[in-house]
Amino acid sequence: MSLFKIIEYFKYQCPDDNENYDSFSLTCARLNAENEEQKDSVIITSHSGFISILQPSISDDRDLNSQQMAAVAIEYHHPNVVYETKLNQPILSVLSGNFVQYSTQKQDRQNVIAILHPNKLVIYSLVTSEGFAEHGQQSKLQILHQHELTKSAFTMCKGNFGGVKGKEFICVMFLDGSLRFFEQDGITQTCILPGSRTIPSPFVYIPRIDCFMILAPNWDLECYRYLSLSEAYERRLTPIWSINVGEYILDMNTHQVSNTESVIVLLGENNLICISDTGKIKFIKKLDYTPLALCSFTVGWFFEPECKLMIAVATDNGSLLIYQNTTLVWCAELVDETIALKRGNFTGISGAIVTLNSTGKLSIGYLGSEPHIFKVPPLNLSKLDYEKSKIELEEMEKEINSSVDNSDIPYINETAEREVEIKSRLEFDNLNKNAFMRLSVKFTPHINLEQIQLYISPNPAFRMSTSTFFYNDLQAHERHSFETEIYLSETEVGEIFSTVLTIVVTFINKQSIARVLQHSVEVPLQNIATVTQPQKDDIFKVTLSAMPVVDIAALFSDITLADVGQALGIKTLNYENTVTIILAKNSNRYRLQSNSLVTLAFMLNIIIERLSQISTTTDQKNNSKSITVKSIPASTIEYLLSCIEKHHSMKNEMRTIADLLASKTIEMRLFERCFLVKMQGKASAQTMDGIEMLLKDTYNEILKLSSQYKAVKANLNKVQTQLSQTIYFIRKVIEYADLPQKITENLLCIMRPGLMDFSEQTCIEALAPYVDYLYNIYQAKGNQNQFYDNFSFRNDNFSLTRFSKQLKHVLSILVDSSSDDKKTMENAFIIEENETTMASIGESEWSSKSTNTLLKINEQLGEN
Amino acid sequence: MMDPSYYKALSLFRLRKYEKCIEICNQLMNQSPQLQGPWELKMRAMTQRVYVDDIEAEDDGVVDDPLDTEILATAPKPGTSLRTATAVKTGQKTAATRPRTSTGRPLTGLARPGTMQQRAGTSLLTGNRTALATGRINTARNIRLGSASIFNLGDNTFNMSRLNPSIFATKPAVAKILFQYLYYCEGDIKKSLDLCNAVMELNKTEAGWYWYTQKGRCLIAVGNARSAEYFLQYSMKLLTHPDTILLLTRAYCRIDQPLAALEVCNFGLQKQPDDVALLKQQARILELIGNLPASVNVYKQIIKLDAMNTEALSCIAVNYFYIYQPEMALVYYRRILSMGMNTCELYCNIGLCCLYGGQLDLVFSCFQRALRLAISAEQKADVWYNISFIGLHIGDLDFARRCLRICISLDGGHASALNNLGIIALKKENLTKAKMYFALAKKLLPENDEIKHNSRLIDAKY
Repeated sequence: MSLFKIIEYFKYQCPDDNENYDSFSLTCARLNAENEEQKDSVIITSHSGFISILQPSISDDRDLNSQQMAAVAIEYHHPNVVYETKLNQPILSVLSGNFVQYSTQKQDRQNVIAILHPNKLVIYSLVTSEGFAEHGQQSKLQILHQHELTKSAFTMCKGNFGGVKGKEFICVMFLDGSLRFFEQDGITQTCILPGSRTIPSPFVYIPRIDCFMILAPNWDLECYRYLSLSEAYERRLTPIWSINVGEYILDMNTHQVSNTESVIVLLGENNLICISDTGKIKFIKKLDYTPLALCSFTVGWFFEPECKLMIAVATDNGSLLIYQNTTLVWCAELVDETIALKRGNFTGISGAIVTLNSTGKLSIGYLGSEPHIFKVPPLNLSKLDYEKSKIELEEMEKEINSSVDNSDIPYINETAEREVEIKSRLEFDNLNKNAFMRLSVKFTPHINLEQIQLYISPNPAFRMSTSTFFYNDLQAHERHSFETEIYLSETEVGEIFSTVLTIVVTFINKQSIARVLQHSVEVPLQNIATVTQPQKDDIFKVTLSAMPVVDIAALFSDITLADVGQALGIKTLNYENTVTIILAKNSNRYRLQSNSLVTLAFMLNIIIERLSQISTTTDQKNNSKSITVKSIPASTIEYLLSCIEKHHSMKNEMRTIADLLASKTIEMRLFERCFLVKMQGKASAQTMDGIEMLLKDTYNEILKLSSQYKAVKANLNKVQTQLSQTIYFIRKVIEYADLPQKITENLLCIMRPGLMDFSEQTCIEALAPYVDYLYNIYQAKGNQNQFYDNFSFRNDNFSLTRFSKQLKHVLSILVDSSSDDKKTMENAFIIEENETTMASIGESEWSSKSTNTLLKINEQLGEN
Repeated sequence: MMDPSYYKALSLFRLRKYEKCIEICNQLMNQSPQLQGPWELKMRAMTQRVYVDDIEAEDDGVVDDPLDTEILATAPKPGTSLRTATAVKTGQKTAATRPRTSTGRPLTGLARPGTMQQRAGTSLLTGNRTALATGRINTARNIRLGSASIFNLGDNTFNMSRLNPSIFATKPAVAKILFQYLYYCEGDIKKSLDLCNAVMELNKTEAGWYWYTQKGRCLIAVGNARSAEYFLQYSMKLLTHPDTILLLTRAYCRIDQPLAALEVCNFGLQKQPDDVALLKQQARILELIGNLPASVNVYKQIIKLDAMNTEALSCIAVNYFYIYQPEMALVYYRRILSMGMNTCELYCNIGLCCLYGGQLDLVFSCFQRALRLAISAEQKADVWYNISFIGLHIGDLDFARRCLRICISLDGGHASALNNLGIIALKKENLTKAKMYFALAKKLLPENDEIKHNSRLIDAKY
């Protein structure tokens, strides 16, 4: 990412276009010293054995501007390829230098090429002969020397080891980190460095101090004297200095920058490090990119005062950054991802940037000083037709408006039902041990579905072996089925109160629209209840009156086998709670009685359902309620109140424990902190004792409190269920009690099943203001103005006794048959008819904090 | 005799082609399991493949830990602590108008790869004017944060659970490789700390700066920044490596001593003047303590040294934007664009600058580009959130509302969008809805002043 771009003026694709190159594969050097113009050659080698020697040049026409120049250069210049062949061994590295001693004066100045194969080092010279015809010169490589290597080589470096003038030697590093020196007169020496060196890295020779810089495996940069390395008899090799650079080195270069100093430039994995040859860090520059290749050079000679060290780094996102010491001086975008970077002097351009990418594409370019500003790619959007867009927008608006219309919901549900077809069946045969029945469900989606989940919603009386079924990626019209075993619950709260099992189906179609369906299965009564002897004197009783009185036998035709008279006992399977049903034909009344409120409610529900079925079939014109609950004994209300009281006291107990627990935890944390301080201060064991004791005690107390809390919570759960069940029963009674519509609605509002306790407010506390309100209306006895003037919601604390009293009073309408009270009650409710109905508000605001809401309702009422 | 394919593996490693390198190493290890080379190389390659510079990662700031016995002052003076950073208003109006992150810091110009909790249910951007995140630049390696576990699936070459640190401490050639593997690839900080301790115990004072720095790094990672300080200081005496300095500043920030951190930066800058990495850290710390003008000055200094520094450019741009100079911000953003950055966030920011600078003809095309370049749902959500400001600007509330709805559909936890939806609902006198939106926004971003204010207002009024 940069404003500038490297301008490519020469490029060449090497014959091997696979990823067979690395940073050792490229070298730039002057081969032909005969040529007066002193041009550099580029030598590229590949791991598959190809070698290409290029002599890049462009026309001397200096008048061409840069763009034309680039255009000219882009064409292939075959005359630039001096030599190209494939050797029969992989080439690891290539160097050019004065490696051979010549006898003749003329050849003395000729550089030769050293090529490193995995187990051979070969020195070639490039022999050029003049051609006769116009196609020009002919070149070939001639082997001068070759050395067999006994180990696999890694890389090599050159230098006038030992400070010899006018000659260059080669040092090869092997994969195991050992070195071998090749001097010109055929002397070779091997040297094994201390330690195991399994991951070798590039190394350099520093002529000024006659030393090698080698990276040790623990990332120490070590400086070894050539003399000590080459003297093989010296067993213990020790570096003259070493410094830890803290990372693996990708590439390394060295330059003499003054008379007294050389620097080593290291390209690490994350940092650019520069170290002087005396072992001092010059600088470490943290790179905020991923470097790939390094090329460093000096501008000016080391004996000149203005000698500058320049460092070029190629990054993995295709940028070239050029630093002078640590300061960024230029940044340009490279033509390609670069793995090897060199600098060379060519015809028409000196100091050109030579880069090689991983597939063997060589490119030579220069830093263009004209900014190459990033051009935003066009969006290719068709031009907006405003008229058309307007219509489109309007249509979309319409669609949006229609899609959020709530009146569509029944229609949506209907479609959802059509989209997934569900069939279920209950089986009572061939069951597993202890299983009560088996529910088998078959469903067929009629469209493709992303996923579907079927959940059998909990009914405390039944336990499922598996209650959730999940399917992914369903095809249309594909049949699926599953089965689950159902057991009768044996826990304390698992009394049967409903015969219905609900399957909740949630599915997401391919357009990721979710829909929910409900499917219910009814468990036949005869499977969960049996006939038993009627009983007398049960605790809970309820009296029903019905217009057409049906015989008990007819009513329970599905379970009664024998002829029954006026009384029948029905017993549920899992708890054996008996409900006794007595028919008083003369007064058109049924009486239900039982010791269990839940079972009573359950049977009441069934009887009402059956009776209403019969009554609707026989007499459809009769609109008035044909079934009414006459009265319930006061004991039921007492039972409800006792439940509430129990719930309240338990909740209080729980609160106390929770508070205690909270304070103990704070204490615990404090002690822990003290303990930590003491630990860090290395206090003596005696001072620790006290803290330790405190810690232990507090810990034990917390444990005890937590188990208490758990126990209370379990109990509370039980009471809550009882309370819910009682309320459920009373609710049923209210529904069918012979009361005016308004009162029924209001009472139903108070009596809601499914209680939820919040941490700061219990369900009962939430209920209190409503009851208070109803009670006060009742007390006002029809005097509207007085009521609204005097009434205000209590903001004081919840009082159980007051609540119980008020609730008892309000509910007494169900028990008391005295018509006077009923009358006053009815009057009281008439007040309300003119106002916003209590019922609707109560329904909608139930879940929010009741007191606040009610205050607001009161305000609204006042405004009205 | 080493196999030549080991050479290939080495070559690939140096070219940073780690996947292929690991493949070859696997083959080599299958052929001859006793060889040391491929084993080490594979460990190195696996480390490098997932390497993320943890110093570059966003600092998660001061953590309130009741068990922390190291906090110095519980009520520090303004400007000396990161806790009180929000209270600093030394005559600058900038900090007051600049939106803050979920932790109450002024928003920075560049989203660095943060600790994952940064996005705890919400987007970074908030406020009535949106913030600008220029996305992740620098290098690809930043994006690799946390990807180690993904790569690691099914490769159980190195069983680290039964590793005995004291054995490896005696092998200097492997210890560092192993440390990096444990720290970066396995993410097992406890084990790597054990290894540090074992090495330091073995070598006593001769352990070298590297191990002191690494021990500091581990201690910071396990949350014991106070003890890390000692080791890092000691390491700095041996060798001033930029990593050590940066880690030390981080340690100071962790124990809520930003001024000490700045001092360390200054010390480093004396040793190595104009070091961009150190200047950048300095600017970031200044930003954290709320001294935005000083921070911007440092960023300007960075630009002089390194004109390519996107972080500095975008931070300056953000600063201009929030002191109501969108045209100046635009200049900087255009500079980033001209360098070739083609990301969704940048176009989004340019679009906003154009919108507030009055160049309305460019606004839509900028956002169109931003939308086209947005890949993740979060990016899309942020772009749509910003597009809603066009609607708010031209008074088309329905348009704004729809944009925000799209934003919510893409990112349900976008608190700012919820807040703005609440305001629109309020304008339409839909009280219950507005209340609901504010409540939800408050739940997601409880620390945000605007949301707090709004929900308080609506509670008091209605």
